[in-house]
Amino acid sequence: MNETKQSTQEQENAITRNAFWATIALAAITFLVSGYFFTVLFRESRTLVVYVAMAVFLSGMTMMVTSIMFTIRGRQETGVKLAFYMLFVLGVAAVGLFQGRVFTVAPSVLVISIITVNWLIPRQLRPKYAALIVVGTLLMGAIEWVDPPWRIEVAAANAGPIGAVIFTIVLIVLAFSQYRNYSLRTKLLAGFLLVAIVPLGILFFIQQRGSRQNLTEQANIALQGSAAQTVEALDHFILDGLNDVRTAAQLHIFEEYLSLPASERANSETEAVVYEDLLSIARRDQIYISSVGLLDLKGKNLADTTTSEIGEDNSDQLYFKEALKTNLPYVSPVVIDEGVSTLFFTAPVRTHQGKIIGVLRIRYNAASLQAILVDAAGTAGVRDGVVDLLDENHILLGISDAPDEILHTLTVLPAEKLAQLQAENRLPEGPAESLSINNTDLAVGLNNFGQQPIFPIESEGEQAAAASMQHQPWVVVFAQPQQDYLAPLAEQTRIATIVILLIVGLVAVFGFVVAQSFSNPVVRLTDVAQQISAGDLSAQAKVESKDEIGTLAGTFNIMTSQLRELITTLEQRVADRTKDLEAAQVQMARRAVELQIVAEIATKASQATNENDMLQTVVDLTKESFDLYHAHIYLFDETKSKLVLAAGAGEVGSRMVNEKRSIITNHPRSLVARAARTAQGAISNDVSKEPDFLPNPLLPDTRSEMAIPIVSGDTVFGVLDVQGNIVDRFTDEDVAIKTTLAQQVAASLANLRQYQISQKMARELGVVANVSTSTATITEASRLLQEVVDKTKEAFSLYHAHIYLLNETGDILELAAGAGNIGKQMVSEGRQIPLNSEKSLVARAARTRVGAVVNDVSADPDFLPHPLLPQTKSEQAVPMIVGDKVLGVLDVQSEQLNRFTEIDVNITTTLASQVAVALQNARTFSQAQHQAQRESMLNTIGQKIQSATSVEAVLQIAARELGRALSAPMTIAQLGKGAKEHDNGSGDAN
Amino acid sequence: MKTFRFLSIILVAVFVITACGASAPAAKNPPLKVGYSLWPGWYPLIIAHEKDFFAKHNVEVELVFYSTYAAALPDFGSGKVDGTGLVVGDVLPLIKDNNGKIILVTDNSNGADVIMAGPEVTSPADLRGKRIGVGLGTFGEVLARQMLTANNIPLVDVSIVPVGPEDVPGQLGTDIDAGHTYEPFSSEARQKGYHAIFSSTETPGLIADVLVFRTETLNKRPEDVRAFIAAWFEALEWWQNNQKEGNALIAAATDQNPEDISTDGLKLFNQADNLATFQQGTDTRSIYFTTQEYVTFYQNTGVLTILPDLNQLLDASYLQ
Repeated sequence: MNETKQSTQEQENAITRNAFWATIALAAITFLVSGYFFTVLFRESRTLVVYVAMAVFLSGMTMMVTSIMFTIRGRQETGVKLAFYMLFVLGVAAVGLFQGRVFTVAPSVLVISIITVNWLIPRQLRPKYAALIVVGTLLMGAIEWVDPPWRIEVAAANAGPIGAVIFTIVLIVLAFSQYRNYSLRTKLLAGFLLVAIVPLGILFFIQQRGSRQNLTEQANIALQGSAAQTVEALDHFILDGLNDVRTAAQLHIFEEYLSLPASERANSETEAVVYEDLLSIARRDQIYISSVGLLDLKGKNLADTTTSEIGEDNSDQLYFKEALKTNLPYVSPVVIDEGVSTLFFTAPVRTHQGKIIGVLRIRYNAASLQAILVDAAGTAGVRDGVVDLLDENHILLGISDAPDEILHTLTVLPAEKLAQLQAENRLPEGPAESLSINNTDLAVGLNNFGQQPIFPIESEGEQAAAASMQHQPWVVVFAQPQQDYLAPLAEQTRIATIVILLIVGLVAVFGFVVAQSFSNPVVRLTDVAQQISAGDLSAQAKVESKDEIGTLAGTFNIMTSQLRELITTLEQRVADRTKDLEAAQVQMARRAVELQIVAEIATKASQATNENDMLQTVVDLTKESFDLYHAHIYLFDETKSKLVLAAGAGEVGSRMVNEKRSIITNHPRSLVARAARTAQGAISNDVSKEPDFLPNPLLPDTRSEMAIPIVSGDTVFGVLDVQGNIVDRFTDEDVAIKTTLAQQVAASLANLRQYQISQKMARELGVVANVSTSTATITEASRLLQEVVDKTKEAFSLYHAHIYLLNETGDILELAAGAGNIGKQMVSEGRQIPLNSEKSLVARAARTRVGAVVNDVSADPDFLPHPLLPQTKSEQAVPMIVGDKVLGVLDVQSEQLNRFTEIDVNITTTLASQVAVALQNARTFSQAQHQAQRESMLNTIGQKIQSATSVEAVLQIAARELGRALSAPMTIAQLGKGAKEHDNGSGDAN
Repeated sequence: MKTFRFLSIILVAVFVITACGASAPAAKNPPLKVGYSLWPGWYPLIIAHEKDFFAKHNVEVELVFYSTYAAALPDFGSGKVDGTGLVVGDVLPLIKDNNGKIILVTDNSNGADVIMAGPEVTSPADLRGKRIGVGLGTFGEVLARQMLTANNIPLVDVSIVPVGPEDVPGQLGTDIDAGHTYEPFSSEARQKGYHAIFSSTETPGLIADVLVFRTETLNKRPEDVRAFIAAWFEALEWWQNNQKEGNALIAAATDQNPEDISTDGLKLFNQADNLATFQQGTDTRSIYFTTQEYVTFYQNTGVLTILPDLNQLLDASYLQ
């Protein structure tokens, strides 16, 4: 999330940055174009339109600087608006002020403005600006349509290539700076294009060089040929002129005329003929021959087709002097004659003897030379060829494309030279500067053309070939703009450009396709990845090829599916867990409810004072509260050998209880027995599947059953058995709940039983006290013992009770008292048990001084059934001890099994102790009585003895009395020494 | 979107570069140089120039004034001017290798061209043995010869002296006894007491004044030439509708008195007249016929070496 935010922030920053630079670029481009137009205008002649235009473009430049300032100051939107509006102002101005600009200006403005609107204008303002674009474009179109007359033509500067180079560099720099941001496809495409264009470009460059050389060579040859041709034409003209003047000079009439005396010449017949002939000569070229005249030897013009020339003195003229001097026809340099550049052909007129008598002069307009040059330029087959004719002073005598430059010098002449030439009428009047066309390149080329007949005229962008004339010291220069003969190169470039564009296009298409095939899977893979990252795990990458990308896609899919699986299972797990939790919650709630029920049941159970009531309450409530089919409780019998049905819910339960149903504890398949045995709850959730299930006709709908042991501490009391009328009624949870219930039941049961025991003990102790109390006053031992056994038997509801007393020697237990008649009979039988009898319970109790119990005499192999006591099932023998003396054993018997518990033993032992004390008391009392009798007897004896007067009598009396007292048949009195102790009768008797 | 940006950058580049570089329509053409001399039939040039009809028709024209009619010939022949006003006959010896074409008939001289003579010559018949000043080989010579022929005077009975019409007033009475000239020089001669003994009224259609242009210029700049002619016709119409104002303009440009400007004795040809005259015909209403007359004349006077092809020489295609 945080990361997304950050990247959004980054994107926004990037957009702002781009907008900033784009605005700067827009303003800069507009500034440059304005500046360009402004500088172009600088070179134009100043007219109002030019001034207006300059003002517009200057303000354009200022505005663009302002726009850039705005942008830099953070007011980019203002900058954009300013640049946008100014763009249209400048566009409209350019179209409105300059001719022929609409086709370049309007689309440029259109495209730039569309891009500007698209990139830089906020979305909500776009319609407005789009409307502005339409209006502006329509305005430009309208201006072009109206074609206002004030529009001027402005020469284009060669800014194209420079602009292209700058733009290319900017583009490349931009491209590289943005390289990181390009998509894979763009990079691949760029790579393809680079690979295609660079070799093509190099090849193209090499070919261009070669072609350029070839073309230049061809052009040189053509130029040389043309120059030679022109020279020939000019030479021909000169030679013809010389020939013409030479032959014309031979006309006889001239000799005749000149031979006439001067006075006879005027208006003579001869003169008329001379004029006729001069006219005829002039008609040879009516356009360029401006006059034909005849000069005498003094240089005076005697007859001329131009009458104003007649009579003039030409003796100082070079053409006159040279003709006379060389005796040959002569052609003059081009001189200015009466404002016209002129060429004089002269030839001496001779007598038939060969004597020179005058000079014939044909005056040619030097335009004839120009005409020849124009012809030559036109017919040379050199496109846009320009022919210059220069004399030895580098004065232009003719120039095919610029007649105004005739009689100008190539370079500024030194004053002296200028003055000389002007004096010779070879240059018009004027300062040297104004007479120069300042073509230094041509001057230099001409100076060296002897070595290098072909040379470039850099300043004109021309290639020139020079050739010297034969009949005049003149030079012909045939020049051609390089771009003309390089036109094929331009054409080649054009074709090459088309081809390159075509190839670039093809490569672009091919590259695009390949790049697509490379990048599309990746792009699609990226899309899929993005989908997945957006959470759509069902997105699948298409495996389109068997290459690495295909492998990647495949791997990706596997990864995705794993991810999907993971997430799906996670979801499942979460769902399960939730479900579990919900179930647990429900269960908890249920459990709480059930525990509540359990608590209630337990409460109710605890309120019962009676085991059966309690158990009945439990089963009834359990069945009802837990909505069970049935519930009942089995309890162990005393021997735990079987489980006896103790309580059952409802009528069915009662009936079954009445039937005294029970289950043997070791029953191998009984659920109840198992629960009891293992002290673990047991469930059978589909009883029909239990092979040994015994359907109970009273409970026909039982489908599932659960048996829970009733356990308290280590004691298993029995089993709570519940039944449902549906399959799968019980769960472990139920086991737990019912176990809790069972534990409560067990606790209640234990309490109840404890209570019963306590009650019984209290009751029995009461009995003991009663027995002790009622017997304590009996001083006669036999009656005491009889009373004890009778009362014991009665009070404790025993089968039988009797007491054995240890005889005086302490080795035999003699039956002293027995309850009832049977007891009296047995006592009368004088029953005895030797103390050391191993098998006798009674003997054991006496020996060990601890109560002994046999709760099932039938199981005791040592038990000696008594024929008088056939019903004896259990027996208890407790010793009667006083101090540390065992007086005898109280032995009780019951016709019940397990009649005696530990408590019984204790109680009986207590009773036995009481009886023993009472017995001891009775014995002591009887002994005391006996002693008193004896002492009185002794007293009597003593008295009798004392009354006796003799020793014999004394002895007699003593022996008799003693024998009586001691019930001894014979008493011997013997006198001896010593024995004075009388404590122990028997001892004494010894 | 990216592609769009890329393309748009390329487009901007292309347009900006072309806007800077290739925007000029080829090289700028120099003005059309058109020569004229003092002849009322060619004054529409001055009107068109002064009233900016050339600019209106989007053609730049530089007028080249020749003080002598003959001076136009070498200049045109050597290509110093693109076109010039000439009399149809004078075009014939000038044209070599089809390097010029007659594209417009400006007017027909109908009395404006005159042969002036002194008081001693009352009629052409009196010219026998006299010197006649004409522009050698020009239409003036043709007119003079027509006069001689019309009056049955053999050429040998007179002396032809090369004198341009401009010089006739000056040389009459000294170098020549009669001479061909026209306005304003004819008026000048009249003021000196000379009178006309022959005029172009007697040779109807013979002196047809034309505009001749170099073929090279015609081939290179046909639209400019058409515009030039359109401006010409417009100027002509304007002048005819605004005689006084037009005359004043012309007077100012040629340093004459406005009242001396007159189109008397010549019929100016508008577009319709031109279209009419550029039809084959059997009299001088057809420029073809008139030109052929000159051809025949030059043949007869031995001036022509090669017969010109009139179909190439006369070109009406720039009239519209």
